Amino acid sequence: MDSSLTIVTIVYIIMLVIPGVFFKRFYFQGPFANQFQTGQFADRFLTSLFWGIIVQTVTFLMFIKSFDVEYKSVFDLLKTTHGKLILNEVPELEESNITYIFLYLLASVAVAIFLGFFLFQLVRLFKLDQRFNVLQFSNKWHYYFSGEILNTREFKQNINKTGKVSVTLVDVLIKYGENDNRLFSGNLMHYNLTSNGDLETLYLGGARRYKNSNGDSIAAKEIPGDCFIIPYQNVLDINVQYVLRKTDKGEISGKVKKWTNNTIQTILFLLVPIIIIGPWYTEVSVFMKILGNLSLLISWLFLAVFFANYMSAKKELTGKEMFYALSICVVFGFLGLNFIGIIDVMGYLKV
Amino acid sequence: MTAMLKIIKEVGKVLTHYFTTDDQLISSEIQEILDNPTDRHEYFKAIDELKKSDNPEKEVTLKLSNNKDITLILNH
Repeated sequence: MDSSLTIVTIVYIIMLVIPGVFFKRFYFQGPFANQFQTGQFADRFLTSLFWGIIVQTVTFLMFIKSFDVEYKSVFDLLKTTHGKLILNEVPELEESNITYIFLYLLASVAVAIFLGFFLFQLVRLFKLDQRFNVLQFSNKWHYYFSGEILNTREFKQNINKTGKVSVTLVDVLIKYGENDNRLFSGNLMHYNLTSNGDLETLYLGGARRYKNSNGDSIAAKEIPGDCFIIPYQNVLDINVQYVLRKTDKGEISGKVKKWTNNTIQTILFLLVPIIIIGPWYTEVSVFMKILGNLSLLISWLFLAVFFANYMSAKKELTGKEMFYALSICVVFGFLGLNFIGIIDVMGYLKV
Repeated sequence: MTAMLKIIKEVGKVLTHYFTTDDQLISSEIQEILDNPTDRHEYFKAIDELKKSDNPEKEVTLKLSNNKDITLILNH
């Protein structure tokens, strides 16, 4: 194999695949973390490459704006470096270029982490994975065991709209030896998957065993202990039932309030990428961009606190405390916008 | 100062809500019920009642030790 080609390949892998891997690491979280390492190598490689290109595009545009670099000079540098690598020569780089490349690599990893994390939260918060099959994660067990399957199109007709799933009851029939089967029932607390995504273990709380006593009558016997563990290899079948907690009166008073709540939550959520990425497209110095980022994030946090309490039936903050939260939000909001040059607070004060 | 601490505590809750993955299969309310022996006994009775009932609209209200009420229904 041509060694120059190998060097070029390594450079492309570092620049494209590594950010893609970081993206996927932060996209597959919680009960879906297993999906990061499952699947065929070619499939995993191609999806990492795809997300790597997206991450690189976002990072490149942010970098160009932040450091006021011209497109032409970047393309010239890339062309020269690529040409030298193909000829198996070490590219001549100035010290400032090496610093920029290092910062760029760090920035691309940071953008990959943020995008992966944000898109996962977006999909889960708005239940997009339950509405669109294409966004569904491979861990089907989570949808069945958490009751989220009731929100999917296939099960929608069965949903009881007067409450939300509080606990999942499972009746598990287990094979005990040749001619002996036993039925266990309990609240599903947790489950484990194998590396292939198959069920490995079930953990039940408040478990009870049903056994035949006196002919046809079946008596339940409570099993003392905190957690009853069932290896899935012994399971013959599982019956799943969802217990719903009926929503209290006044908790959701009408569709309008629910709609307003969802709208505010959506706006708050979509503000996050605007606050984090937006300042990098302004004309101020990098230091001011960072200050702008931090101030706007603090402002966002206090705005979220205000709305969380305003919309909640059980208010934790008094009216006065909510006013304080809103004041902090406004102060930091103005500061942030001032840092990134959108408004000029000092100018207004002079006038 | 107390007001500020309360607000900061709420900031923590907002961060937890937005930036952590909730993969709990059991709600905190049911977990509390199971942790309390008296409530746990009542909870089992309620579940049995719900399971045995032929009425899909059947609901059972539990009166908990902390004087709170919780109404459970089975999704048929």
